Amino acid sequence: MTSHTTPLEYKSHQSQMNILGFWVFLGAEIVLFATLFASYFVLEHNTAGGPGGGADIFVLKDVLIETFLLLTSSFTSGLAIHAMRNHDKKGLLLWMIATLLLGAGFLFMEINEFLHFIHEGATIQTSGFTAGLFTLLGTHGAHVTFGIIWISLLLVQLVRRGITEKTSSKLFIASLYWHFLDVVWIFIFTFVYLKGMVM
Amino acid sequence: MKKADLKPVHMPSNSWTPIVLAIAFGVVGFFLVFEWFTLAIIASVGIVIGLVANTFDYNDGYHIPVDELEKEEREWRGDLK
Amino acid sequence: MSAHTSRFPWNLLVGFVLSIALTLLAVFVTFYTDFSSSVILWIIGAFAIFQAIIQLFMFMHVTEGKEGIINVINIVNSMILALIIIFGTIWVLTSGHAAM
Repeated sequence: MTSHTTPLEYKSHQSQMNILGFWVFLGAEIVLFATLFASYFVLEHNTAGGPGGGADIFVLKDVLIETFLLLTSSFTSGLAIHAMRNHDKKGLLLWMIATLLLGAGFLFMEINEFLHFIHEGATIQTSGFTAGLFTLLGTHGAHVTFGIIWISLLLVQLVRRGITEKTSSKLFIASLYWHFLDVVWIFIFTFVYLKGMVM
Repeated sequence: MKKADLKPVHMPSNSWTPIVLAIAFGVVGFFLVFEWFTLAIIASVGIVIGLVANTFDYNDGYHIPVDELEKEEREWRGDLK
Repeated sequence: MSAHTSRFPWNLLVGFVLSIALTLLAVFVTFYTDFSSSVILWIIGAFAIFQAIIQLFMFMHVTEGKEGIINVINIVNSMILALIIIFGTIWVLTSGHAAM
């Protein structure tokens, strides 16, 4: 890497270390979600007479809308980082706001989905299956909520300070987090929803 | 150790946010375990304050210069020459 | 190291289109084919892993930066840990070891 092609977020030693450290954190997050997936897979068939997953409570249309919202938000946050590397502050701001709106749309759909589950008689205390399901989905949803707050706070700093070595590395790290949430959702979509509806 | 081997040591600055966050997360967790949601929500204000203060904190710490390292090292070893 | 040039972000667009296509393909395989459910699970599982790899390389640029190779080793290590946790847990809790 020669210095004139190095993206701004990698310029200082501190930023490089921050980005590397965040990758290590993402490694720990993979393990966290692995434990939640593991307990869900073990408890999946223990429905204790309550709703049994699959066709009982999952609604394919809503899940697909959630998936597309999150996939698109991952794409827009990628576009935001592309704009940042072109020193396009306005583009960065607009694509990040688009990301936030799509993330909020996802959260809205997920909360409605939870209300639907509860309406169908599947609360977190109903059975092993619903406990595992709500813990897995809820942890992912809590991550999305946290990401929305985090990126909003970073955008305040971006507006105040512009694209600097520090704000660019912060926003780059936030975008890594957002893409990671999308990766987790892909696995939830496949191994919770699709698996639940086919098995 | 020769002086040429010494490099300035990077140190973080003092900050109140980590201890506030650590305590607030612990307290909120405790309340959530017993489903005392009102108390949990009140305590989670501490988390929000800590996180917001932390993200707006642009202090990157400081470096201990080589001269000072050498001086301290010499004093601790009792080698006062 | 080409994502910061001013050209159109083709890799992002290709990654996005591929993710949407893989999602729809997974839905198609699940609901509109006659494979047995374990075959379906293998196919959609492969799609999910492929999609995760797309995200890692096209969106997150995992190999970028001075520590690119460290990032890759770290993520591969975490994935191995995740697989051990998931399959180890399922194995130990469903094959009778827990009942002893």
